[in-house]
Amino acid sequence: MSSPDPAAPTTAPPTGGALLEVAGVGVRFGGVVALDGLTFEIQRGSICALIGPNGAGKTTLFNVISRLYPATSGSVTFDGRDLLKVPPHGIARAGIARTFQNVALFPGLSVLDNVRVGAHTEGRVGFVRGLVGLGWPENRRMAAESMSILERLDLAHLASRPAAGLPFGTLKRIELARALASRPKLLMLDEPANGLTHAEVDELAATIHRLRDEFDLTVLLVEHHMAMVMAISDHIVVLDFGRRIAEGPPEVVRNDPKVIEAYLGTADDGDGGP
Amino acid sequence: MNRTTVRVVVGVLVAIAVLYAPYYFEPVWNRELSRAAYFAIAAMGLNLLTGFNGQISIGHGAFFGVGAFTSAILVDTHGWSFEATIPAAAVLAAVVGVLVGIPALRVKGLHLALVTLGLAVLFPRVGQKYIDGAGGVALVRPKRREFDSLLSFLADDQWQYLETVLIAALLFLLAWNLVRSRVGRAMIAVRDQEVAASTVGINVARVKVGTFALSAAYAGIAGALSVMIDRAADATNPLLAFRNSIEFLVAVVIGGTATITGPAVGALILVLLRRHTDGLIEGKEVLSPAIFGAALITMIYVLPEGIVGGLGKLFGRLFPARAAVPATAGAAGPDPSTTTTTPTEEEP
Repeated sequence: MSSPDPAAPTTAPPTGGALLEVAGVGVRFGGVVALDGLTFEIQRGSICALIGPNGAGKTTLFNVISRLYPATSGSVTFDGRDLLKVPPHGIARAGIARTFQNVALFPGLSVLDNVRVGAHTEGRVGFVRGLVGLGWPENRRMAAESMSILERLDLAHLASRPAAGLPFGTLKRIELARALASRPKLLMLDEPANGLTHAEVDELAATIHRLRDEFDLTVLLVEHHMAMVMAISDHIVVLDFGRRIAEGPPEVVRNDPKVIEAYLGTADDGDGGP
Repeated sequence: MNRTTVRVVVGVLVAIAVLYAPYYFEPVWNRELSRAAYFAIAAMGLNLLTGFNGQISIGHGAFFGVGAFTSAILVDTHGWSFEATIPAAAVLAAVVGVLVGIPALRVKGLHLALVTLGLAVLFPRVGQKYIDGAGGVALVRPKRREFDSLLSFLADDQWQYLETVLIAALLFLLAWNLVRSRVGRAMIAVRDQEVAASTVGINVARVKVGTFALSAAYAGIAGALSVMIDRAADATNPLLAFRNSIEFLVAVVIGGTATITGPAVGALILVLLRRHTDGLIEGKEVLSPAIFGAALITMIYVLPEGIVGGLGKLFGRLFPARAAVPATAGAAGPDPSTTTTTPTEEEP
């Protein structure tokens, strides 16, 4: 897998242009409107943050992009492809990986195997080859690649431990490693700083930046930790009641009166960035 | 001594014992051990489905029955050699497995258990309706000589034992390969966290149906072998498929869910226990199921993760993995949440 770089130029221009286009996406659960005509774009190679009060529809959007929830209206285009026609298990192959707000690892597998499962789309061994024992070369290759990802996230010493019973911050890093294993173009992080200590949050911000460059990623994150959002984002989209109320670079969003009223006014914790 | 050495030594000793057994024991006992071997195959099939993939089935007696009748009918009325019927039994059981596995995608946990239970209850009825054995009942008994030893230096019971055990060993090896491959990890991922499994690109439906088919094939092969050992495929007893289904599950649980050797250990214990409790109290045979049950309860109480699961933990503590764990983490030995979870009870 190491040879052909999946992020190479062939498909689309690597710089500029939108990687993900969300156009008029609406989601309704019975009478509840979770997303209401949401429209925005994420530029290739950028770090985009989705912020807003609890219940604004941020995770709902993640679940629409992951195809876990159906969109009632609108369209989602990823890399020139209509994402709403892709089945849920096809999203990873299309180039999107994500983490979950409360961590969704596989506790019955070791840390290394969790990351190897993350590389599922990179392999091709099925039932027949698996049974007769022809899975070894692929296994070894995946183990080596997963190990290198674990090393880059400082998790290599945990490789053979079960992915359970570890500190929450560690589990979140393991989940991040799993997401990276599929070599995604778009990495979606659902509250990556949630539950981390102050020091860990600083480290996380640096890590996200570094990974973006190393893995050639575009990042979409949902986050409540304003200091981190302001520090690392290129672009911020603010949601309230399923609607976009503002968007732009951090400087602009921070001073937008609507945003301050809806969100920052209540959530600013005093260290809200430079 | 590191853990690899210990494993190899234990493995070699077990292999020698298993291969020497038919020369040591009486034919009656060889038959009993053969029964344990085919039982182990069915239990391994169920273990792949329930232990590794998290889909509960109390209907594997039906797949076992499909395999048994396929084999018995092909030998008895179509003149096939017994060995040739084994793949046919596997394929037919797998087809039925797919037919059950697809609708099973819509149900989980206890509901799935009930659906598969229905399968076990239904099987003898269907069998009685469509199968006419000798005397018009759903009982097919191929002639005894169909299963005669093909090697002059082996008596029939030895031959049958070795054939069953070698097929079981092969199928266990295949299962071991599988669970350590990409598909095996996908099976466990689907069991542990279905949503996350799908977001990393696992086609959950395909993995589940595929596992169902494979699991049914194992049960079908076990059924075919049971015809050789018990010399009959039987659907006259409406409770047989049901009882088999339960016993496969029991073998998996007392052996150790989601382990490779667990089903074999569980099957052996189950078969021996059944035989020993049967005649334990002269003249009080009605009590034997109670003793049998009490023994099972005791076993689960002492080793809740099954014999292999429990011993594996002990083994892990006696021979820690060489990749040294940091001092702080190494002490966290008996953490119930860390070892192979038994998903069977937790699925919503």
